[in-house]
Amino acid sequence: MNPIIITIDDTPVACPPDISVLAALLRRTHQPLVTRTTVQGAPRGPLCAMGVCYECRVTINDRPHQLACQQTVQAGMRITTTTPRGGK
Amino acid sequence: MNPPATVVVVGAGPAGMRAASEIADAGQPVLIIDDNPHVGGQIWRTLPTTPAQHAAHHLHTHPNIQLWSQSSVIAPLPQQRLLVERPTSAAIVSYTHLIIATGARERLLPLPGWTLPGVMGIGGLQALVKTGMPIAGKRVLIAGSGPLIWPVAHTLRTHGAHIVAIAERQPLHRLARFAVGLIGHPSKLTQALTSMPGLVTSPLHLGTRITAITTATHGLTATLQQSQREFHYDADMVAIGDHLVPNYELAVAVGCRTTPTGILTDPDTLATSCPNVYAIGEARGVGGIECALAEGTLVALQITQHHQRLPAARRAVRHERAFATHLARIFGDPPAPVPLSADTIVCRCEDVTHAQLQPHTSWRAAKLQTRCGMGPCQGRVCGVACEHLYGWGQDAIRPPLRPARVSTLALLASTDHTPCVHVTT
Repeated sequence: MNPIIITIDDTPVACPPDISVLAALLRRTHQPLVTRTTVQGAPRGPLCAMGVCYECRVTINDRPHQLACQQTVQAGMRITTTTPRGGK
Repeated sequence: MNPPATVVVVGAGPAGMRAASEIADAGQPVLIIDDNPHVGGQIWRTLPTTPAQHAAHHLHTHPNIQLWSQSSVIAPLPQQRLLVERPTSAAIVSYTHLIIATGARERLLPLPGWTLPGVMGIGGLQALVKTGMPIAGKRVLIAGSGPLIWPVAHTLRTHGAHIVAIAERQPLHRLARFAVGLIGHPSKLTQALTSMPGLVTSPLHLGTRITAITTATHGLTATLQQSQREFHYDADMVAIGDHLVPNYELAVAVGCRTTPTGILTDPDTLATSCPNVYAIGEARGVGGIECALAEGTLVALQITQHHQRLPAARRAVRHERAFATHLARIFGDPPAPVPLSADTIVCRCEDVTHAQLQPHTSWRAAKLQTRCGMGPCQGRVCGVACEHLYGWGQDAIRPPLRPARVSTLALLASTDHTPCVHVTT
């Protein structure tokens, strides 16, 4: 199947259709994936991948707190993680 | 407008799918509500097997079945109604019968370092690999307990992962007892045997638990403990999980009585302690896919009053539940808690540490003082952890059962839809 283009943290990325948003995020990095920063500033990645733990919550198309593991990528989807960029 | 009252099934895993299909086949309309983008639950998730595809096709095309995917029950309401949030809307649905088929989740227990990125649930990692995560060449340590370990190791290896080691908390004699118990269940024995051979190349440590995870120069280092001996493995990902716990939040919120192993039901009718509410599958008690399917059939026959087929369906459930009892006997008991350091996070949502929780005497006090269990997961992870570490039972489940949009909750304001709150003992 033809890849689709999504945007992850303002960067356009090609990925296969029908994969989860979480899988799309994971395909992009060789490091352990960081999806969010906690109230204390610690990096967190996905834990349960089944919609239980809420560790993989990201902003999708400007709607915050979406579970990356529970959504399928769509062409043009904009995903924003809360990974601290440029240090925090 | 809100749809007329029908049978409502919550959860589109094997149990819920089977129940919905059978009820629809008997000529009754069914609404099936599921969190996930695809039907099949965790076990059939995107699995290209024939029974899964057949069941999914049936669900999508049957004129009597209405399927709401990516939808969650936010609150049970009085008079057999549910507040449901859908991707871009919300609804209040009325049910004649409610079938709770909410499945199970992994029992993820705190240990030092479990919040590090790269540490995942065993089943969660498998789900991710099945939904498109690349794992080829990655070093994976699997450490936990339960029958899930073997098929997951097999899947990961098939996708090119390097399984650095497998650590199972149960000692050999208990696993041997488990294997003996499979003799009455040929399909499970076959499953076990097909996933085994490929795994013998990975070091296997039985009677071994994981006690800590730290960051290494490249990836993570896990500490394993066997009796008094400690040793270490480096890995890119560490998969943890100690068997499964039922998802019974909805049942508790509705007012059903539960036990630590699942929702309490009449074994012949699968009726819960609440009128017109039934529980099937893993939510009733972890028992595997055949058990889930058998209970899906039985509950459907019960509701559609198909008396001729009931005795056989009851026998099938009894046979499969015997396996569930066997599973619980081997893997059900929670492990002795791993020693935690003062700064080990117990509530991941709100960053609440072991030291902050230790002075408290109850779940309620800890929640009020520390915000433990008040984050987005609503205590689904830390509630189980706190019960395990401190012996606190969760005294109540309060709606909203999941974080919800204001517009969803606003539906309640339009009428007298006050959420009902039940306290369980």
